Amino acid sequence: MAAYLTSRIASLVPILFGTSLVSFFLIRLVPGDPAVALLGLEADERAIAALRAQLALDQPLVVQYLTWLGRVLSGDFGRSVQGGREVLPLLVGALGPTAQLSFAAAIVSLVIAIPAGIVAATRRDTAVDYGASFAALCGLSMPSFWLGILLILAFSVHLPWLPASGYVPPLSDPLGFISHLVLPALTLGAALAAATMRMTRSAMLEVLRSDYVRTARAKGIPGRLVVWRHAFRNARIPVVTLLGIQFGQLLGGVVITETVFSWPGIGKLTVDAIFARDYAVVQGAVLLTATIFVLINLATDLVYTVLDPRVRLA
Amino acid sequence: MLRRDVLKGFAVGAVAGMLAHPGVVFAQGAKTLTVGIVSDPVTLDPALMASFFELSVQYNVHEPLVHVTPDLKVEPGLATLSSSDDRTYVLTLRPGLTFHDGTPVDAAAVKANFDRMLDPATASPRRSELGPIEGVEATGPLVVTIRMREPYAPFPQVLANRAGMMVSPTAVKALGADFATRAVGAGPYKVASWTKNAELVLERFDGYWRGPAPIERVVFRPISDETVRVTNLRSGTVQLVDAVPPQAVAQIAREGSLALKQAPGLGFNAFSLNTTRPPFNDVRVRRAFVMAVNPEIVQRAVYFGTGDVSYGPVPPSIGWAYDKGLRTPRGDAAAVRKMLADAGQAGPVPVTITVTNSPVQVRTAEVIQAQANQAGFKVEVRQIDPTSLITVLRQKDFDVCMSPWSGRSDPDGNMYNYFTKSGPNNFAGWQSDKVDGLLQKARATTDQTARAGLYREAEREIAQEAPMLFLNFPAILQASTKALTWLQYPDGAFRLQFAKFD
Amino acid sequence: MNAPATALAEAPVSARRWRATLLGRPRAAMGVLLVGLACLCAIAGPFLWPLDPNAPDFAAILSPPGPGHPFGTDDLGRDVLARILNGSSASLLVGLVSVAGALLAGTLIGLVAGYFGGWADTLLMRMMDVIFAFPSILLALAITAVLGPSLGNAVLAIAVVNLPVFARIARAQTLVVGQLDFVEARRALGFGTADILLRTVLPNITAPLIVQGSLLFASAIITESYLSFLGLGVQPPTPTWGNMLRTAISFLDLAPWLAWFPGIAIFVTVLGFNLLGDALRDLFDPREG
Repeated sequence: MAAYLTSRIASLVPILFGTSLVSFFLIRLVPGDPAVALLGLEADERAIAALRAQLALDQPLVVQYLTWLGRVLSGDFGRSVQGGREVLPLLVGALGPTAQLSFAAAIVSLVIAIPAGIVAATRRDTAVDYGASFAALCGLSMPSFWLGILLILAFSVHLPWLPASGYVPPLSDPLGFISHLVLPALTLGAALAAATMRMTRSAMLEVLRSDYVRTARAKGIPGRLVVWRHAFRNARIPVVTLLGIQFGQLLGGVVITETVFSWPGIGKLTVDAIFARDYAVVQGAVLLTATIFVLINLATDLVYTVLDPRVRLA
Repeated sequence: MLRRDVLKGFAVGAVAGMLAHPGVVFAQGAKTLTVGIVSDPVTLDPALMASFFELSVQYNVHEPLVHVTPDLKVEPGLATLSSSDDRTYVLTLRPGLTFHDGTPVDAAAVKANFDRMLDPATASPRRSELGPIEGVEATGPLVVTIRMREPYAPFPQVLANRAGMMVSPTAVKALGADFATRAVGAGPYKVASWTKNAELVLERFDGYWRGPAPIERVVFRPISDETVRVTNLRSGTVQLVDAVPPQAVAQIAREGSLALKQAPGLGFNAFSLNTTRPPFNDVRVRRAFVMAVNPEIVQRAVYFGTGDVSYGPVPPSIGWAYDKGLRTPRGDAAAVRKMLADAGQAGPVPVTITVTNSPVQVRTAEVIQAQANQAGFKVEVRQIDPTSLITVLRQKDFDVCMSPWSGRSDPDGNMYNYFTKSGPNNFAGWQSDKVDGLLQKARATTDQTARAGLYREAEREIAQEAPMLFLNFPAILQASTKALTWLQYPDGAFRLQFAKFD
Repeated sequence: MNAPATALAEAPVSARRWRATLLGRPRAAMGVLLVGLACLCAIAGPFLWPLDPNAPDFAAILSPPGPGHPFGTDDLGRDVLARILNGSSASLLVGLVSVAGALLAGTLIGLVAGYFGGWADTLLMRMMDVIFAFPSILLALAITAVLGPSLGNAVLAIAVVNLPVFARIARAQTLVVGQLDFVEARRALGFGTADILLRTVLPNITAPLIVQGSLLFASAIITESYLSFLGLGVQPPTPTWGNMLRTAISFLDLAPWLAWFPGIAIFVTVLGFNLLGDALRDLFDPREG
C-alpha cells in the first residue's frame, strides 16, 4: 500500500511538470502581455517597456520559466499584475468557494441521479425509465448559463425565495451560505446528475443481467434486497470512476456557473486572468487545479479498494 | 427508521429556515447598500487606475480636490481652486481634514501626491492628464501653488477627476504593493475588505469633509452579465445597479418597486477606421463607409431608442460645446456604391470589424455589417478579448475597430487624445495639421465661447475626413429600488455620500 | 457505416441485427429518426425555408412568431427559423468534426501506446494525462484565444479537449485485444505490424469508442455555446444554436421565443445522439440477443 501510494504520488511529478510547461507557453502565445493589459490604451511605449522590464518579461522565455519554477518550488507564486495581490492566497481564497460549490453539486447529483438511475434500470422500458432518461437528457442539453438564468428568474424574481447571486462564507453565516449556494449547486449539479444517472442506469443494467443476480433471484431473495445488496454494490465502481473524473473536471468547468452567480471561485479567477494575461495567476491556477485533479483520481482509485476488495493495487 | 425520520425532520427544518431566511439576507436594514457593478476594479490606487471598471467605485473611496456637479460646474471639494493668471493655480485646502488613516490632508500631502503622479517611475496615466505642469509648491501649510508652462484650460475639470484624488502618503509608503487593494483616501467611505470577484466592502468614514454619509456600509458586487445584473436588482439582492442594458429599460420602468434613471452621458460609441492602410487610407472609401451606416438605425436596434445619435465626439451633455448642426447624410446605399465606384473600388470592398465580446458591441458590429454589406462592402466581424483589443489598436492591426470612450466633462478630454497627431487614442493613425492646431489652441484658450468655436471647427473637419465612425452618445442607464434616493452624474460614477434610504 | 468492420471478430453483428436494433426498438428508432432530422436540416435547410438567415430587417426587430416568421425574428430582425436551420449545419459540424477528429487521433494514440507499450506508451499517455488534468473549458478557451475565434478553431479546441478520453479507451481496449489468441496467431503467421494494428486490433476496439463518441457529441455542442458565451465561439453573423442561445439571454423578457427555439433544437439533437449511442452500445454488447 505504502509503495503503491509512493509510486502514484511520484507519477504526479511528470504530469504537473507537463501542465506547468503547457500553461506557461500557451498563455504566452495569446496576443498581448500583462503590461499592455494593465496600463491600457493610453499608456505610452516607455511606460510599457518599463513595466515589462520590472516584470522580467524582457528575459528569454526559458529563463522566465526556470525563474518561475524555482520560485514556485520554494513556495513563492508571485503577485498578480492586476491589483498586486499575492497569487497563493488569491488562489486558496478562490479554491474554497469552488470546492464548496463542486461538492454541493456532487451531492445534488448523487441524491438525484443514483436513485433515479437504479429505478430506471430496474424498471427498464417503463414510463419511469423514459421519464428519468428524458429528464437526464434535458440536463445534458441545457447550457449552464441558460439553466442558471432560468433558475434565478424562477426562484429569485417570480418566487422571491433565494438570493439571485453572491457568496457568503459558511463560517460567518451558515444559513446565508446555504441560501446562496442552492441555485448555483442546482445549475452545476444538473449536467453532472444527467451523466451520473445514465452511467448508473447502464452499470445497473449490466449487473442485473449477470449470473449471480439471477442466482440471487432464483434463491428467492426479495427484489429490493437484490437490487441494493447485490446489484448496486457492483455497479458502484463505474459510477465512482465517472464521479471522480467529473469532480476533477468540475473544478475547472464551473467557470460559467461562477460567472452567472458571481461566485468568487477559481474558474472565474482563471478566465479573468487569461483575459488579463495575468501570467502568475494563470500558471498558479492551472498547477493547483491539475494537482487537485490528479489527487482526486488517486482518491477514486483508493475508493475502489474499499468498494471492491478484489481490486488490487498494483 | 428512527434515524431516517430525524434526518427528514432536519431537512424540512433546514428548508423552512432557508425560506424564512432571505428576508434577513435581502434587507440588511437601511444601513447597508449593495451595488451591482460590471466588474471588479483592477486597482483602487487613483494614480494607476486605467480601466472603466474603477469608475463606479472611485469617488466613494477617494475625494477629488474639487467637485463637479451633475451639470458639470466646478465647486470646492477638499480645496478651493483659484487662479491668479492663466498659468498659475492656487489650491487652498479646508482646515482640519484627514485621510482615512488619520494622516492630515495638508499642503505637504497634496504635493506628495502630485510628485508621485508626475514621477515617470510611477508610470501613472495621470501624468499626461495633468498637462504642462512646470512646478508644484507648498506655499503655506494648507496652500499649494501649481504653475503651468502654458495655459491649460481643462485643468479644473482634470482636478475633479482621477488626477485630483488625494491618497494618504503615509499609507502609500507603509502598504507598498498592497496599496492597490487597500487604498487609503479622503473620500466618504473607507475600504473595509475586498474579496476578488466577490465583494468590495466599504465603511463610512466619519471624518469626511461633508460630514458622515447617511448609509453606513456599501458593498460593491461585480456581476458581469447584463441580464443577471438586472435580475439581481429585480430580486432585491442588490439595490442599485450600474450599466442597465438598453433593452431592459422598458421592463424596469414597468416594475413598481424599481426606479430607472437615465442621463445623457459624456462618452461616445465610435469606431476607428485605420487610415494607415488600404482600404481606409483613401478618404473617399472612409467617407463611403461612414455614409453607409445610419446612426439612427444603430440607436433603434442597439440602444432601443436611448442615448443620442452621434456625428462627432462632443456630446449634448457638454451643452456649451455641442454642435447641433453637425450632421452628414447617412444610409444612402446607392450613393455609397457610386462613391466606391468613383474611388476606383471594383466589387465589394472587404473590411473586418474588430470588437470585444460585450453584447452591445457585438450587436453594433452586426448592424454596421448589415448596412455596409448592402452598400458595397463585404464585412467580417472579429470578436476578441479586451486585452487583445488593446494590442490590436496599438499595432493598428485592424480595418475598423471599436473605440468607445467613457467621456470627460471637458471637450478636450473627448478630442485631444483621439485627434492630435501623437494622441495616445489616435488609433486611426490620422494626421491633420489643421485639427492638431485647433485642438492645441483650444487647450490654451480660456474663453469658453472661443473654445466652443474652435472645437466646432475641428469637429467639422473630422466629419469631412472621416477617420472615425461616430454612432451614439450612450445614455447613462442605472436603476435602483424605489426606496433609495441617490444622485446620478453624467460620467456614470456613483457618489454614494449623496445616497440614502427613505 | 461499414457494419462488420466495427464488430467484435468473434461475434460479428449481422445486418439483420443492425436493422433489428436500430429500427426495431422504439428508443433506438427514435434516435435514428432525430439524428436523421438534424442532418436533413443541416443539408437541406436552405431549400426547406428560403429566407436569408443573415438578412436583417430593422423594421421588424423582435417580432413574435407569426405568419412570415413562424419562429419570430431576433434582435436585428433576422428570421429565427432560417437561423435555426442554417445554424444546424454549423452546430452539427462543430459536434461531428470535433468528435470525429478526437476519435481518430485519440484512437491512433491509444492504439500505438497500448500495442507497443514501453516508452512510447509512457510518453503518449503522460501527454494525454497532461491534457486531461487541464480544466477542459480553460484549455479550449486558451486555444481559441491563441488562434483567434472561428468555427475551425472552436472545432480544434473541442477536439483537443476530448482527445485523452478516446486515447484512454483505445489503449485499454488494445491491451485486452492484443493478448487475444487470434492476434497472437496473426503475429505468428508473420503479418506486419501495421496490418495487425489496422486490420485485426482496430476493428475489435471501435465499439466503445463509437459509443463514447455519440455521447460526447452533446457536450461538444454545449462547449461551443460556452465559447460563444465568452465571445470565442463561431463569429457573427454565422448562426450556431449555441451563440443564438447566448444572444437570447439578453432578451428573455422581451422575446422569450429567441431562447426556446435554439434550446429545443439542441435538446432534440442531443436526445437523438444519446439514444443512438445507447442503441449502438446494446448492439455491440454480445450478451444482447
